Amino acid sequence: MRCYDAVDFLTPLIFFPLATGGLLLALSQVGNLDVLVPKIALLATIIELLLSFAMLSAYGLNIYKWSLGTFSEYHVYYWLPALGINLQFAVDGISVPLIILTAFTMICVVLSSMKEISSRRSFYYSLLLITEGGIIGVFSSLNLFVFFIFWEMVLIPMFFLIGVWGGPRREYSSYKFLLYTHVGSVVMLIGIFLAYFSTGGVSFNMTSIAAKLASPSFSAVTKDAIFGTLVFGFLIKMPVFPFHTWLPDAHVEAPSPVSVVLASLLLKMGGYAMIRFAFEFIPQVAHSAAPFLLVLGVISALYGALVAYRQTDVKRMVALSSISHMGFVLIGIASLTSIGLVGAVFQMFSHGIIVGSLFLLSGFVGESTGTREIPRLSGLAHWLPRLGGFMTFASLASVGLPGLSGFVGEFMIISGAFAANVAVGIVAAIILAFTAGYYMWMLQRMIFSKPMEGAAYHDLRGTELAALAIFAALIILLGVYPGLIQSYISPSVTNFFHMVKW
Amino acid sequence: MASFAELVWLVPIVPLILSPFPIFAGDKLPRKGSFVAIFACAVSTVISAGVLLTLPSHPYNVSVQWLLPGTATSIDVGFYLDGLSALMITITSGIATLILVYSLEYMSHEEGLPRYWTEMMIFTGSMLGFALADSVILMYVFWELIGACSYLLIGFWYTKPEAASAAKKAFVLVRVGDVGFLIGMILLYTNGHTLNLPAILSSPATLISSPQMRTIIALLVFAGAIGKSAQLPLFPWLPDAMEGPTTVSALIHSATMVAAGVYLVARLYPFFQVAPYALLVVGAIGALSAFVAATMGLVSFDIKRILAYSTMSQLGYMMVALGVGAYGAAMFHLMNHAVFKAMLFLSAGAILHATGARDLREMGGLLKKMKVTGLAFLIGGLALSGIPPFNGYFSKDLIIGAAYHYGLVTGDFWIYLLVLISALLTAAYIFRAFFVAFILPPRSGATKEVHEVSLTMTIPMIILLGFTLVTGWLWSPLMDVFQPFVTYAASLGATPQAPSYVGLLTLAFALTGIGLAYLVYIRATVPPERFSSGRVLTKLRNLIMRSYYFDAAYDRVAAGVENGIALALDYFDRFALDGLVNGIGRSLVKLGRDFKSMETGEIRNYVAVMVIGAVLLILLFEVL
Repeated sequence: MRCYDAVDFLTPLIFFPLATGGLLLALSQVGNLDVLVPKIALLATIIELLLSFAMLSAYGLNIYKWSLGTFSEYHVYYWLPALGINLQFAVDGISVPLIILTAFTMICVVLSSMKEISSRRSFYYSLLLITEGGIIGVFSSLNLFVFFIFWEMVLIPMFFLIGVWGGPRREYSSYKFLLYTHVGSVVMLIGIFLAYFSTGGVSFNMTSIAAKLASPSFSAVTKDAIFGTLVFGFLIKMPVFPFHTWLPDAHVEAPSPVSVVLASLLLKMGGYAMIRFAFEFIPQVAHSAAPFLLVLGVISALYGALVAYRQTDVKRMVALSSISHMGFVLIGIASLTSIGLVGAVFQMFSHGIIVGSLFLLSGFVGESTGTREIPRLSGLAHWLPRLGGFMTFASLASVGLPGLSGFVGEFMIISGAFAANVAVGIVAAIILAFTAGYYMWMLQRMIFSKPMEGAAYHDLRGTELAALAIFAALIILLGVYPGLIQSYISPSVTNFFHMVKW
Repeated sequence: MASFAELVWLVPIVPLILSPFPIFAGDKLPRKGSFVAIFACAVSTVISAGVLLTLPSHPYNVSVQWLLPGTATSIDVGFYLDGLSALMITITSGIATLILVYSLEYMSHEEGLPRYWTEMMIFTGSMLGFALADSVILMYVFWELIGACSYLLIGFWYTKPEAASAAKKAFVLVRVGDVGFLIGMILLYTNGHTLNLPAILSSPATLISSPQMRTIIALLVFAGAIGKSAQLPLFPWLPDAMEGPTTVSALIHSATMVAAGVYLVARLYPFFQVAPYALLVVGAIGALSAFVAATMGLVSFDIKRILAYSTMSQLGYMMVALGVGAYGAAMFHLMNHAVFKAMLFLSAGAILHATGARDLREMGGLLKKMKVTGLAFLIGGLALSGIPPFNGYFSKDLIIGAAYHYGLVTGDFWIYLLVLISALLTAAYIFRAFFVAFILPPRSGATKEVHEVSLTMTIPMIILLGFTLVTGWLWSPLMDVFQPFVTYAASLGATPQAPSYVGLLTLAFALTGIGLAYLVYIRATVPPERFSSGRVLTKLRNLIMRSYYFDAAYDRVAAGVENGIALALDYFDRFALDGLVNGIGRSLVKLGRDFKSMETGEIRNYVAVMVIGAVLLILLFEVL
C-alpha cells in the first residue's frame, strides 16, 4: 500500500536488483550465459543508478514526520500485519547519499569484475545484484524485522563471494567473516526482539517503538539493554576495535571487486545503522553512551592507523586504514554535534569512493605483478604509469588532501570532536599525520623508487580504468563542491538535532 | 567597462582549469603542452599586473557558500583582493611564467613532461588561490594543494630512490606542521564561529575574547607556517627537496611556496597582534632559523643545498621582521627575495645543465665560460648579502634595523645579534660558492667543454636581473610606495626605524663576510682545510654537517613509531586479539560436538536452520 500519490521509485530500487539477481540465478540453471551475464549485470546496475537519480529528483516531495525527524519518501506494504511486520521503506537525507553511493559503487564493481571473474559468472553476478538489493533494503527499511532480514540477506551472498572466488585462505576468511558478523547479528536480533516485546509486541515499526521507548516511564535498564545489543552488532559491522579482526583477513582473501563491496558498502551498513537504529532510535541512551563510543572511535582510528604501518600486504594496509577511517565516522556520530554527524555521513560516502579505488588498485597490483607484498615491489609507476597515477591520487585522497572529498568529512568530524572534547579532537587531528606517514611510505616504496626488473606487466585499461575514472571523478567533484551531498544530509541532521534537544 | 578587479577570479582559475590539458593531451600537443602552461601563467600575470596597477581603494571581496554543516555556521569561500594579495599574485604569477619559459629548454629532454607541466600549473593556480583566498579554510585547502604539488614535483624523477624519499619526507614533515594549522583553524571556527578573513581581520579581539585562546590559535597556525617555510624545527625536508628539478626548486622551494608561511602570518597579522607572545615566538623561531641555516650553508658542498639553506635563512629574516613588528619589511623582503633567489636558482640550474655538476668541488672557472650565468649568480649573491644598490640590501637593512629597534624597546638584543651575525655568514657562504664555482680554477683538470646556455634560459635570468636592480628602490630613501601599499589594516603601524649607524654596521658585517670568503678561497691566507682540523672544529663541523642531528632525531621518531608502537600493536592484533577470538571459537566447537547430530559443519545447513528457525518463529507469533 502506498501512502502518497507521488511516483514511488524506492520500492523498485530495492526489488529490481533482487529480482534481476534471482532471474540470473534461475537462468544460469537453464543455459550457459557466461558471456552475456556481465553485460546484463552492468545494464541492471546502470538502471539502478538511474532509478536512484529518479528517486533523488522526487526526493523532498513527501515529508513523513516522526518523533525525531522526517522522511521524504515513505511507503508501506503490509506483510504480516498481525505481528507488526510490514515492509516500511523510507529515506531521508542520511540514507539518500548512501543509496546513491551504493548505486555508483555497484557499477564500478561490475565493471571491475568483468576481467577478473571468469568462473561461474552467472552465480557471481546474481550474488552481486542480490547484495545490492539487500544493501539498499538496509538503508531504507524502517521496520526492524525487515531491516534484519535485509541485513542477513547481504551476509550470505558475501560469504559465498569470498568463499568461492577468494584467494588461497578463502575458507578460513569467509568462515571468520560469517561467524563474526553472525555473532553480531544474533545479538542484534535479541535486541530487536527485546524492543518488540518490551513495547507490547505490537509492531516492529521503528518509529512507533521509538515513540514508546521515549516515554519517561519506560524501564531504563531495558532501554540500555536494547541499545547495547544493537550497538554491539553495529560495532562489529563497522568494524570498531576490538571487533575488527575479521576485516583484514576477509579483504586479503576476497577478490578485489568483492573487497570494494565489503569496504565501500558493507561497513557503511554498520555506520548507517549506528545513526538510525541506535542514536536516532534511542537518543536518551545514546546521549549517555556517547562518551564511551567516542573513546572507542578514537582508539579505533588511532589503532588502525598505527597497525597499518607494519603491513607488508598493500591490501591489508588499505583494510586497516579503512578501520581507521571508520573510527572517524564513529567519532563524528558520537560527538553528538550536528557538524560531526553531517561529517560522519559525508565521510561514509567519501570513504566509500576512496577506499573503493584503493582496493581496486591494490588488487590490480597483485593481479598484474603476482604479489601484493610491498617489500617485493618497487618503482611500479615506471612500468604501470596509469596505476601509479591513480594510486598516488587515491592515496592523497585517503590522507585527506583538501580539494578531494576525504578532507571535507574529516574537517567536519574533527570540528565536531573539538566541540565534544578537546583531547579527542587533538588526537583525531594527529591521526591525520600518521595516515599521511603510512600512505606516503607505501607510495615511496611500491610506486616510486628504482623500478624492479621485468616489464611484462599490463597496465590498467578498459573496464578497470572506467571504474577508477568514475570513482576519481566523484572524489574530485565532492571535494570541490561538497554541497552536492551535504545539501541532503544537513537538513535531516538539523531537523534531528532540533527535535532531540541533547 | 569591467575593471581588472572584477576579473581577478580568473587569476587562479585559468591555470587550474587548463591544467588537465598537458597530462591528458600533452603527447598530441606541440612540445608536450608546454605552451598551454606558459599561456595560462602569462594570462594570470597580465591580469595580476593589471589588478596591481588599478587596485580599488577598498578591499574587493566576493564569496559563496561552500558548506553548511548541520546547525553549525555556514562556511563561505571566495576571494579577497587588497594590496597584499594583489602583490602576492603578481610576484607568484610573474616568477612562475619566467621559470616556465626557462623550463622549456631546461626540461626539454626529460621523460614525463606532460606530468611536469600539469603539476606546475596546478601548483601555480593553487598558490594564486591561496594568496587570494578570503577564508582561512580556503587558504588551508590551497595550502595543502601546493604541498601536494610540491610532493609530486620533488618526486618528479621518481625512479631515483633519493627523490622518492625526499618527496615523502617533505610531505610528512610539512604535514606535521599542517596538523597544527588544522587544529588552529578548527579552534578558530568552533570558538569564533567564522573563518572569513574580513571578520577575523576587522575585530580579532572581540571574535575570540580569551587572550590565551588567541595565542593558542595563533601559535597553532604558525606551526603550519613553520612546516611550510622550513623553519626550526621542521626544516630538514627543504635541503632534501633539492632532489627535484632545479626549476621546481626555483619556483616552489625558494620563490613562492616556502614564502607562503610568511604570507600566512602576514595575512593574519592583525590576529597575531592581539595574541600575546605569539609574535615573540614568530621572531624567535625566525632568528634561530636564520642563524642555524646560515651555518649549514657554510659547510655544504652542494650548490643547490647551499641555496636551500639560504632560503631557509632568508625566510627566517622575514619571520623576524614579522616578529619585531616590521610587517611591511617582511613583505618587502619576500618580494625581493623571490626575485633574487629565483635568479640564483636559475643560475645554478644553468650550471647543472651545462656541466651536470651540483657539487662545488666539481666546478671551477665557470665565469669565463658562462658570462650571463656568472653575472646572474654574482648579482644574486650581492643582493642576498645585502650590498647596495641591489634589492636585497633595502629590505634586509630595514629588517635588521627593526630588530635593533625592537632590542632598544624591549631590552632584548639577542634577535638583533643573531640576524646581524647571520648577515655576515650569509655573505660568506654565498661568496664561498661563487668563488669556488666561478673564479677558482677547476680542481679535476679540464672536464668537458662548457658553453653558456641558450637564450630561452638566459632571458629569464636577465629579466630577473633587471628586477633585482629595480624593486629595492620601491621602498628607499628615494620613494616609499611599497609600505603604504601593503598596509591593509590600521593596526599595522609604520615599520620601526633604526639610526643610520645600524645600517652601516650591517653593511660592514656583510662586507666582512665577503672579505672572509675572499681571504680563505682566493688568497688562501687561511686554507679552507684548516676549518676541518682540530678537535673542537671537527666536532662543530660534524654537528653542522649533520644538520644539528634533526634528521637523525626524526628518523628515530619514525623508526620508533614503526618498530615500537606499530610493531607491538600489530602483534597484539594478529596474536592476542585473534588468538582470543579463535580460542573462544575452538571451545565453542568443542561444546558443539555434543550436538553433533545437528551440526554437520556445512554453512548452508546453518543457513537453512536459521531460515527455518526464523519462519517457525514468525509462525509462532502468528498463532499467538
